[in-house]
Order: sequence, then C-alpha cells, then structure tokens
Amino acid sequence: MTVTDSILSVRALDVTRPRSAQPALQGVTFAVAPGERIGIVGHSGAGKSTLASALLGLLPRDATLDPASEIHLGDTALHRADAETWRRARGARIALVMQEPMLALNPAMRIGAQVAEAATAHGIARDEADARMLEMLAKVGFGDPRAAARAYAHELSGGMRQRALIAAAMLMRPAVLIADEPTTALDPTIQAQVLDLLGALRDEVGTALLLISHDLPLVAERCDRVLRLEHGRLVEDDHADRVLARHHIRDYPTPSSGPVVPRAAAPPSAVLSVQDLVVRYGDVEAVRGVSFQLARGEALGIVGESGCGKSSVAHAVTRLVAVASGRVTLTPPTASGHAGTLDLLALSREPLRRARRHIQLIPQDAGASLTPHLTAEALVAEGLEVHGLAQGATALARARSLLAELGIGADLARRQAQQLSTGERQRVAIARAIAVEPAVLICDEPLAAVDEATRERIIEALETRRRGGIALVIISHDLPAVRRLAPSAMVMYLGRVVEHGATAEVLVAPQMPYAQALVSAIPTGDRESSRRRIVLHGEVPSPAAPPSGCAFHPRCPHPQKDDRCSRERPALVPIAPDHLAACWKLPLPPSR
Amino acid sequence: MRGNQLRRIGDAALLVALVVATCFILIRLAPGDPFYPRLDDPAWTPERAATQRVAFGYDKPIRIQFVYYVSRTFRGDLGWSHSRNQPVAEALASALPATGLLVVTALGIAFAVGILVGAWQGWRRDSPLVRASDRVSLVLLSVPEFLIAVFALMGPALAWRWFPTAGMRTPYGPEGVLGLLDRLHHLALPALALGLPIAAVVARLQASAMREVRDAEFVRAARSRGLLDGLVLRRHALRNALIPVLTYAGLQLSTALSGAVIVERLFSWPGMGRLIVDAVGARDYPLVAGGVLVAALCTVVGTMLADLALRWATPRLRARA
Repeated sequence: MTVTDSILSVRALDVTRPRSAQPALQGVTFAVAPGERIGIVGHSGAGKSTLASALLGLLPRDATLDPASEIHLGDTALHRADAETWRRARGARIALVMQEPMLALNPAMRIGAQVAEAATAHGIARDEADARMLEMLAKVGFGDPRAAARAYAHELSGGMRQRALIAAAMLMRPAVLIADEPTTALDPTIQAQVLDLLGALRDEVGTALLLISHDLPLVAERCDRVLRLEHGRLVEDDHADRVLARHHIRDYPTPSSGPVVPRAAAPPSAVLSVQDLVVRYGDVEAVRGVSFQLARGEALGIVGESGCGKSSVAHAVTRLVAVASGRVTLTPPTASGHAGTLDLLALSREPLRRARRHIQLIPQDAGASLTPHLTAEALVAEGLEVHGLAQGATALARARSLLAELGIGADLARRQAQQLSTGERQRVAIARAIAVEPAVLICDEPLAAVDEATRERIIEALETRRRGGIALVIISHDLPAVRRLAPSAMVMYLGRVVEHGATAEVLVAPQMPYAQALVSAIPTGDRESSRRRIVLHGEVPSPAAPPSGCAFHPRCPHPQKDDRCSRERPALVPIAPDHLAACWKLPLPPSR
Repeated sequence: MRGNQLRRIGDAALLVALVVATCFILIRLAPGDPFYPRLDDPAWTPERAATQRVAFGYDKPIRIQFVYYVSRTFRGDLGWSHSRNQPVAEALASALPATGLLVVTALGIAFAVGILVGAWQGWRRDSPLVRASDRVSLVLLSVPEFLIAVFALMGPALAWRWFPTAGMRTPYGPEGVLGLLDRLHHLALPALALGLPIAAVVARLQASAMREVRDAEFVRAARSRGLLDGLVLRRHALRNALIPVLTYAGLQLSTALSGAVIVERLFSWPGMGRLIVDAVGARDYPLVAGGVLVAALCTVVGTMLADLALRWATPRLRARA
C-alpha cells in the first residue's frame, strides 16, 4: 500500500525515553486504509499506548519522537508539523477514546460541554456545536440527549460515560479513531454494547478504527487486520484470523470447549461456611442473603458485574466490613492447634486477630495494599512474624523462597514495594497472603491489570496452593481463569446469587438468562460466536434501588418473561444435581 | 439534604457559643476588672469601684454573669463598653467596616495573586522563572506578617515616603474620587502585609494541585479533542486544581483576622483588631466578648462561603450533601 491511498501511514516510528535504556517504540511501520479496522495487541509495556500517544502528538513529557520517524495523516506530514497543525488534526481528523471513562471526563464539567468543545475547538460556532452534540449524544445511545448534556460524569454509569466520550471523539467525524482499551474498565455485559456502538459509528462515518487491546480474541472478532507489538517492535501484521490461529490460546476457549477443573466427588466437611450473609452500607443492601460452603482443597469462583456485591462478600467474610446479619464459620485444620469451629462474626478483637491467620484476603488492586517504603521480603515476612510462625532471619528466608516461587528473584525481593511494577506488587501481595498458610484464601480480582505472563504465574501459584489443601475463593470477572481455577462457581447479580453449582455447568452451560449473557460476553475470537452473543440492553441498575421481583427482569432477554418476574422473586432452587439457579422460566430450552 | 444543612448550622452555632464562652471565662480569670483602681485618677476611689462592680453585676459568680450575658445577648444587647463609654454594639459597628475592608482586600489579593501565580507555576513545570517565584513565596511564607508590616513601614512608608504610615485616610483630606484614591493609598501597605503571606501559601497549594491535574486523564482527553492549550488550562485544569485551595480558603479568614490584630496596630488602622486589643488591656469584658462574638461569626460565615465555593467546583459534593 502506498502513502497516497492510505489515510494514516507511519514509517520507522521511534520513541525513546531518556530514563529507560530500551526504546518505547522502535521502527514501527504500517499504513491504514480509509475505513479499515485494525487491532493493535500486545502485552502491557509493549508500546501500545505509546503508539496511540505518538499518533496524536500527545507523548508524555519524558518521551521523545525520533526526528527520522514519519507520521502521515492524509497528506499532512505530522512528524514535521508545528504544535498548531497537530492541534488542528487532533479531535478533527484523528480522535481518541481512552480506557478509563471516569478519569477521562472532567468531573466538574457537564457532559454536553465536554462533547461540544470538540467542535468549538475547531472553529464551529457554539449553536452549531450544541446541535451536533445533541445529535451525537442521541446517536451513541442516550435516550434523552438534553438531560445527558446537563449531567456530570459521576451521574452516569461506566458504560454511559464511555458512550459520552465516544460521542466527543466522533463529533467531528474524524478519519481515524484510536480506541485505547475502550472496554477494559467496563463490565462484561456492557463491553459488547460499547464495541457494537464503535463498529456501527465506524460503518456510518467511514472512520478507520485502531482498536488497541490486550485481548487478542476481542480484537480478532472486531477487526480486519491485527498488528502485534512486542517490546516496542511491530512483530506481526496480518489478517486477524491468521494472527489468532497462530497463537495457541488455551485460555480463551469457546464456552463449550474450555478446560474446566472437575469437582471432587464427595466434598469433605466445610472449612468455610457462609449462611444468609447480608451486608448494608447505609440504605444500600450490597449483599442480600448469600450462602455457600467451601471444603479443604476446593475453590469457588464468584462472578458478576461491578456492584453485584462480590467484593462485599469478601470483605464481610474477613470482617473488614460490618455484617448486618448471617453466619460465617471457619474450621481451621486441627493440626495447627486450633480445634473446632470458629464463629467468625462473634469473635472479639484478639481471637479474631489470631483467626485471621487462617482466612487471608488478597484485596482488589492488591499492589496498592502494600506499604510503599517496605521491601517485598519484609512485607511477606511481616505476616509470619505477626502470627508467630517464624522470626527474623528464618522469616526472611521463607519470604524469599516464597517470592522466588512466584517469580520475584532475590534482587526484586530487596526492593521497596514502590519500586516494583504493578504485576510484581500483585505477586508480592499474593505471597504475603499465602505465607501464613491459611486454611482459606480469598482473592478479589487477583488477575486484574496484569499481563499474560504474570497471569499464568499467578494462576499456577494459586492452583498449587489449592492442590496443597488451601480452600480458595476467586472473585473475578475473568471467566476463563475462574473456569481453570475453581471447580464450583457462583454468579451474583445485585447482591443475590442467581446461579450456583459446578463450574462445568454454571460457567459452561448456564441456565439463568443473566448468567447466559455474562458467559456469552467472553470474546472467543470467533466471529460466528460473536454474532450469537447475547447483548443485553440497558445498564446495571443501582444497588440502592434494585428492581422488584427478579432483579434482572428489566434487562432480561428471555422471550417468555412476564408479570411474575417483576412481582415475585424467584428462589435459588436445584435444577440438576449440583446446580442451583434462580429463574421463573426454568428449565430453559438449550441455548445452543 | 435539608437535615444535613440544619445540622451544619447547628454545629456552627455550637462553635460560636463555645468560643464566646471560653473567652468570657478566660478574661475573667485574668487579674483585674473594668474598675481596677486607676492610679492616674484620684477621684476613682476603691469605694466607687466597688459600687460600680455591684451595679454591673461583676460581684456575682462567673456562671451567673455568663447566664446574664447570654440572655442579654439573645435580646440583642451586647452591653456597655466601660473603656469607651458607649454601647458595645456602637463601638463594634464603628470598627467593623475598617477591618472588613482590610481583611477582604487582603484576602482578595491573597487569592488573586496566589491562584494566578500558583496555576502558572504548576502548569509550566520547570523554568528559572518558576523556581525564582517559588523562592519568593517560600520567603514570604517563612517571614511572619508583622515583620513584613514592619519592613513595609520602614522602607516604602517611612524612608521613601511612597505610602502613608498610619490611618485609613488623610485627616481633612480630599473627598470624592480623590478621597477614594487617598483611601486606597492608605489601604495598600497593610493589605499587602496581611495578604502576601497568605498568597504565598495559596500559590504553593495551587501549584501542587495544578501539577497533579496537569497529568490527569481528562486533561489529556481535552487535548485529544484539539483544544487550545490556554483553554485546556482554564476550562479543565484550573477548576479542578482549585478544589484543594478552596478547601483551605475557609481557614484563611480566621488567619487574616488574627493577622489583622497586629497589622492594624502597626498601621494605626481603626479596626476591630485594635479595638479588641485595647479592650483586653482595659479589662472591658463586654467589649471583648462582643468582639470575639463578631470574629467567631465571621469565621463561621467564611467557612460556609468556602464550602459553597467548593460545592461549585465539585459537582459530586452537591449530589452527596
């Protein structure tokens, strides 16, 4: 392809950062035809976001574009352009949608003003800009564009925020749209909606789409061509199907064929037992009666969208938040000196502190839970000392060997937490929790924001512990990982369990419509399956005002939903051996 | 939402009551009273003082005096100033406008200069000019305001005679437009002496807030829409960077009021500061209590104003409260 018939062409793009020895981007060359859909994939740190910034002329201050690099946008040579030419191109001819819609919106400015300024910045009169803004807000899916224009970011849900940002990016009908992980921060059932919207707008306007993602199957479903970056170099540029085929992806099985850990035949007595757990924050009932049991060496996956109460369950069980009602009992192995069952919710301060050794939590965004100035090994050894399992040099030695097992070498172990990368910190947090050999380990999103290699390591480490007898609770929206780690699974919606049972049933052939939508939302890389995907309409309702009856009924795509769904709440009832579901319309016809 | 507002007003009232009660008791614990023997006045006999004490109720226990005081205050009577021989309300009313003018001007200078300089410092990260201005604000921060006032008096006022040294206006001076200019001329030095140290604090806060906001995602998003740099600064960065400054602004009214006590004294400014200091010296209990009441009310009102400004800058807070 020559420069003339491409809308964007990049040649020998080099970006260097003075503080790091390795260039952020090196010799990246590609061209984009008008209206083409291109996926850009790679691990974190591969240079995907740097590429996006370079194409917009928004490189961070510490990064510099090599003078020999070329960026042609249409017939404009941007690499030679002055600041004003860049500015005129940005937003008008090349636009950006970012990862975190909450952070990308100005919290103090109304949505309408932020969308309209994309037009006024390029010399369009105020009235005309407002008219276009309202039209675009309607187009991206706001039922009442005038109300949306008056809203502030915090008044919208994550999906709607991202729609607003897409409206701002598409307002000037740019020739190129860069979407940098546009759905990574969104709930799985919302992701498909947003990607469909991006696709529809592209079809209508004829914009070329550069879809940046760490998720190859997602990109392969939506793009014609895939570019793969590795350490700042372009290592692959090929048809999407061929790139997908070349990479052996065992983690992204189609819903019916993925690896699923089998369940132990007869579960022994429970280590952790939770009954009718209720958690309230003020008027909001975050958890509304959750029960489950967990035996030694078992693992339970809890899945569901944000706000469904998954994390609240984790915090309540470890007594980090107050429990409104319910019962939580822990039966640590007798060998450790503790005999009998502990009523966790009744324990006073000191017995609770001792009991915590047996029930450990790896909190969400675990890296941030580490005291920044302490070294990795000290952080891990601390737990051993606090619970009297080892002291001084012995504790440090054990900390080091545990960290080494998780791929944190002696060098890294001596660094302060703040000097480590996100993935490394995550592993330190995990090492800290497993160091005290708890009976139960609760992991809240242990795989969020880590790259592929780290993800594998963490999965392996957790799997090893489970085989060694630790009972795991895995809270994650990474369904393929839950399938691999947890023999049983639980789907939550607005504080309630809607489906519960063997993972091989619940996360492979789910019965309750919400669970079906959630499972079908996982990108598989297969365009056929993407067409069969159940795309839910509407947003997750606020937990402060859950809908009556079956809380899912307003979004439920089931063809036979009726009055009863909105009036009476379906109970969680057995529909097969080892499989419970809450839906009035069961048994459902097989979905595929 | 309504209940929340009511609770805040209740909290504020409680605060004012506590401040007034504390001052009421503390000044009575100090030796002396309004009728202490006056050595320079031979007609002022101990017997006469004793009669006066009884007449004004100062022979009663402090708690009884306090009950009287509170009930009188609620009826709108702030009492009689012994040292000035006029009602306390009148004395306060004559001094309040002068202090108001000084404090409001000083705070105006402090926030205008502080926000502008700080925003500029934070937006352009590192240049010799930024560093130099940062040094200046550091110096202003470290020097107490009375020293700045003394320097201002010695240099610009006394030595170079650019500014008047005392008062609010030239006695028997011009009226009309010239009179206004004359007042501004008198106001300049005390207002600067009072305002600049606060400006320095504001500038530092503003600069650090700006540095943080400048790297925010929404600022990058605004740039990606092709906005002019100046517009990104004004529309997106500044308003969000104002939040920490506004949080702090409410505290500054009381800082300025206490600074005014010294500055007014040095510049012979006929304001509340001077009035209260004189009243304490003369053990003029009602006047002290009245002055403290006014100062406490001002601080509460200032905090509430700052709170309103914070709500303006933070739409999220509006929804929550």
